Amino acid sequence: MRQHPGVWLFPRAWRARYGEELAQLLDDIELEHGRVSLGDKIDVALAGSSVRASTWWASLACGRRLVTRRGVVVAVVAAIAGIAISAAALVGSPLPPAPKTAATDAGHVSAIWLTPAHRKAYHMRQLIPCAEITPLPSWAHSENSATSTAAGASPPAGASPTVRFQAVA
Amino acid sequence: MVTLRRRDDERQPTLSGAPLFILMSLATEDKHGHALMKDIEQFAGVRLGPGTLYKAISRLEEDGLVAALPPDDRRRPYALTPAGRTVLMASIDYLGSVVEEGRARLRLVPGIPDSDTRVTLADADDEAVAG
Repeated sequence: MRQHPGVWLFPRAWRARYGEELAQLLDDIELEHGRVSLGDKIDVALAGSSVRASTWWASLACGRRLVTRRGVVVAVVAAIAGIAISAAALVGSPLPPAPKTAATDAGHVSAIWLTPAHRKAYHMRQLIPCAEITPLPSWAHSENSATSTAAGASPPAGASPTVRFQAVA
Repeated sequence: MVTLRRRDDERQPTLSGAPLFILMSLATEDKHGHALMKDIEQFAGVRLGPGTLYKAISRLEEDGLVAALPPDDRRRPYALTPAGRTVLMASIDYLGSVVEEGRARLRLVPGIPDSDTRVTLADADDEAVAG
């Protein structure tokens, strides 16, 4: 019996029952027409894929595959463990460094990442990457805003004490 | 995949497409795959691919509508089961009622002649061409 490649797309159990008959039918077609047409080869491939997919889905639906296939179980456990380890590492890691732009030189902003409001403003700037960010006012450019505020370099009247720059759309 | 459609809860499931053709072909005599394919091509004008044919046969056998007979060489003939015959009759009744409904509706649409009128018009056209 000649082996027809498309037949191997059917599941093993299906092939054990119908594989020889299907191969015989393909042999009969070849004997009758001289060859198996491309359409018939595609039909066998599609039917085999369809039967395999429905069989796989049925076994997955009843949960047998997850229990019996140890490889799948190991892969799923490894994936979950990897996600958990990555998440744990992210939780403990510090914020990424601020991107350098003309308006946010690291030397200017390093002293003001101290309060939650600063963090919020930092994230706002990250969420609006295309926005134009106005330069920091001069009183915010001191080396240490906490100490310089105490030393008399306080923000001018009317300025917000927490938001040091604004995103302009 | 065998197409099982339920019209109503109290009705028999009905088939269409390849499974219906297979049951119709087996209604007259037991056949193996190649004979089924040729018979269906002859009476329905549809050539089922080998994969489609055996996919449908496997599902029909799983549903108990056809039964495999002892193999003759490498060819295994299939026979219609009593359940298969019942489903086939229900399917044909269902399709017949749909066809009748379609014909009745076509008669209600102005400008679309029914089949008898179409034959008469075709004959008139042939006579006009011949004349």
